Amino acid sequence: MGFSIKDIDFVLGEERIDLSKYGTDFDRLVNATGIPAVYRSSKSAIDLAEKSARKVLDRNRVKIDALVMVTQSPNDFLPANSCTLHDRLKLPASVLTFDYNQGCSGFVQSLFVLHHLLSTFNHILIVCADVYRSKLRPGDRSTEAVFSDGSAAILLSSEPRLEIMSARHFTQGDRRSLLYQSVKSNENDGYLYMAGREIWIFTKKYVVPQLLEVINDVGTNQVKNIFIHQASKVVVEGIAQQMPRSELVRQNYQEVGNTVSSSVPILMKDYLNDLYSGINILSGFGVGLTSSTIALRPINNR
Amino acid sequence: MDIGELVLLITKALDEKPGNITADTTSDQVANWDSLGHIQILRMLDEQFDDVTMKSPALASSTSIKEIHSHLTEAGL
Repeated sequence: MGFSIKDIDFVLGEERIDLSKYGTDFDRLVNATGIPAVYRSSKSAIDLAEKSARKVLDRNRVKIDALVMVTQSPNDFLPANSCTLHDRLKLPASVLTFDYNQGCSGFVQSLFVLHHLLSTFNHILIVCADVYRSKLRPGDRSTEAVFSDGSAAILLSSEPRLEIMSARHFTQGDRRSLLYQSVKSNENDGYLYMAGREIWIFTKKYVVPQLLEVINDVGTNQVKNIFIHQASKVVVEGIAQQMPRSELVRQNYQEVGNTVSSSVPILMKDYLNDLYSGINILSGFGVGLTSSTIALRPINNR
Repeated sequence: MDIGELVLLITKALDEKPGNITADTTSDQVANWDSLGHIQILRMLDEQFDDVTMKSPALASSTSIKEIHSHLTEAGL
């Protein structure tokens, strides 16, 4: 099944928060996270999604056949956020809309699912958007020091220039409480809970082997870039150290923080041309707990 | 391993002043020993002891020097 990633753009929360506000142990905090500043938005995920989508649609005057919003920061329980976004973007009534409820693995998973739909459709717009900062318990440094609000829009087309050469998926639903927010306000006072240390172990135990399996499938020497979820320095560096060619692991957590579902596409934005000249590995992991890794191969590169 | 050596390693991982951490220290006594601090400890243990957190995942939920030492001893270190 051939497809193309035509364009990517993104927005971050409008307020830049310098983490030095956390006081004298700022250096230690940044040493652990690698993130000197994060971005917060006072707006909704739909507002950010509209902004990123418009940036892509303004450059690409194409007929959108399907609109998929990847988010865990819904404006409403119903209707689907993609319906609200469809209205904001004034898209035609013929557009198929649905939401994809995943976090940091959401983009990679939705790309894997949606590329099959491009046998029917010509253009699909994926819009990832999350405003996790509104979910964080004030003073919880382990989350406040990493998460940024943001949105990324990704335009897929049916032009057959890429294919998914290898894919692995992993779900550990029995560990869902390690990264969790209940709809009930009496659970953790309604705030997001993240067991950072156990999730760090999860990345080592499951994400690293999954990445190595996919890289082994495609051949290490064929890989051009490895785009992994930008959780934080300890996670990205920890994974990179386990890769056969760690220099291929791209990083931007230092500039944007952990933007959840938008993390991988924001990272890929500056490497779009590379997608068509070599094999690229995409890996998202986190809430669920879930992890999905795929290898994209240019169709002329067999 | 000697618990004194472990104290020194954890003092370094948490970027604490010498003497602030002892064999009796628990995580709730040290401000830097929060979730991020604990990941720093786990990283250091993995570097020192060849991915020991994979053999002993209970290290992730340890809350004291003695508990960490006990898990390392069980892992044969």
